[in-house]
Amino acid sequence: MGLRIILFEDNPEPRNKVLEELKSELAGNGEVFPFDLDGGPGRDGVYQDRIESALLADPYKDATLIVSDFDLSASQKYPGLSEQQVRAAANRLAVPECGYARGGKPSSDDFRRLSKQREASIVLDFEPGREKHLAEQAVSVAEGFAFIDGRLPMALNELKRTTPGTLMASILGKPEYADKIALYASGDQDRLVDMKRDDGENDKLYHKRLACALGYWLWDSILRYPGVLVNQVAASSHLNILEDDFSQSDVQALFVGALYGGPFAESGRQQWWRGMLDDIVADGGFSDGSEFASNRLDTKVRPSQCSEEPAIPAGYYCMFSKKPVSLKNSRGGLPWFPRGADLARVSASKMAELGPWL
Amino acid sequence: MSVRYDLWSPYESLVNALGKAADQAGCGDIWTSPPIGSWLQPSENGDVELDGYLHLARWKSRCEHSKLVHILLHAQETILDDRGGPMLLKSNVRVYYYRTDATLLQSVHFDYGKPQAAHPLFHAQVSNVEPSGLSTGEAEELRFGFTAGAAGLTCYRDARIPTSDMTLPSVLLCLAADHLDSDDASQDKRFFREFRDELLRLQDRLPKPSIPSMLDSLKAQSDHLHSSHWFAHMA
Repeated sequence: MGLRIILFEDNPEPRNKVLEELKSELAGNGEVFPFDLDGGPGRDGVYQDRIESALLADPYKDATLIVSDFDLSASQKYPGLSEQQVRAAANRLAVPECGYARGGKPSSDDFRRLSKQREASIVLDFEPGREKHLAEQAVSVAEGFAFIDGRLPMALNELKRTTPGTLMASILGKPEYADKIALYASGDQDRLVDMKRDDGENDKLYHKRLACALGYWLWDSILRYPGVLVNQVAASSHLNILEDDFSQSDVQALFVGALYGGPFAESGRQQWWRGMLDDIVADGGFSDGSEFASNRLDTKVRPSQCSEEPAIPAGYYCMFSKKPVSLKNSRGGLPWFPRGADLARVSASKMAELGPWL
Repeated sequence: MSVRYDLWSPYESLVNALGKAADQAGCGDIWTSPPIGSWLQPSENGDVELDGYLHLARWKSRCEHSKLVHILLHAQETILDDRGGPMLLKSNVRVYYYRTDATLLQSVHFDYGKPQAAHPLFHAQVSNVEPSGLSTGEAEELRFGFTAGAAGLTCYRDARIPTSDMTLPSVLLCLAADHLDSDDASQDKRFFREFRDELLRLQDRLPKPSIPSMLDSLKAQSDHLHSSHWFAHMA
């Protein structure tokens, strides 16, 4: 079955543009339906219940993903509606949901996002005129959830010991990282409550809910906090390679074997398996990535620089500044950092600024 | 700095398993410095050096669960990253017990290393020495706010007490046994058992000490744990 994306957008002009880009991005691999926020029967009941009922009927039922504008207040049938009510309805039906805001407000406030870890949410980057980018992200998210949903029955059958860590590792095809992934479940258990089967729940609904919870966990936690996977900045910092040098194609080619290709890989957040980066360097007999790359390319690949003190190497990643940072000039162990995210830190300057609130 | 993933990750799993058990038992907190992923670093001679601190903050005492202690642990080990399996060449684990008023109760260090004459292969030494070499940054990371100079009773530090394998995993297991559960029989040492099971699952992936002469000695006289086994390397 192809992807089925439901779009919630109250403003006709961006709606048409986003729809067009979503159709183009899906390229025959699915359908997109705009949710009717203006017409149709029935105006009784709370918004969440009405949306939930509508999502159970044609043409919205069996949705792979709901994509919603943050502000839906101009809806004629649902005046004052916001993405929150859409998300609540989606959560009850175990349908994955992601939001965006014209002007990019929600994703720009990192402090708010980081401190709201316990609420499963996916916020897409969006600026007017960049509907294509939004559509690319949305389709990647839909494909990611569909991939997890497709792999789940096999993973559940194969595993002798089913835990969030073993299940996710099996779905990602990396059973050797099960222990590390399991550390992303520690201290953040609310997110994983949906992974437990409710009494009397049938397999179909349970699998749907489980796939949805696993997808949010992967997006919101495992892919966000560097530890088992690392983004471009965190990878270069961990490898002790200056970010500019790490972005060069010949340097990237040395580490291509460690590139993450699992769910959400195409969403614009390029990631590498940290353990595979370690193995590439260690198997070459080098103490860090800078030495390894310099040797392999026969040219000087510069070591990383701590953003707080450029004279010393980095090694870690500041979750607030999104810059490389050294152990010496940063602090770890914030309560909402998953235990597995051992490369996630807060730089000294951000700590001085935000410390009392952390 | 890079060390193979399968060499450092069992240590991370082990320490986090202790942290999880301590959380669930309501025993206290665990802080590490540096992050465990950085505990292992390649050395210039090709071996791998482990160097890391743990602070078991406000942990419950075994006999009187209402009494709390702070425990600082400093582990330094040398590992040969052999393709046939990692081998532990040397281990020095120092454990410092503090009252919550920041006075040192006692410290003990567990040693294993190159065989030496009249030197038990595995042994412990009790002392009252404060940790040395702990930087301000590390102490801050560990939430370890004690000042040096408040040593406890004088004790004779040169007595070596032969022990079983008391390298890092074994020391953590003993700390779990001493602190996670109360002596209340109805509790059945549940949290200790859970941590022990996790350690058993991980132990094949952790480096093992190289003890051929001791193993030969044990095989030859397996009916009793004679003290001669401790000096088997001198035979």
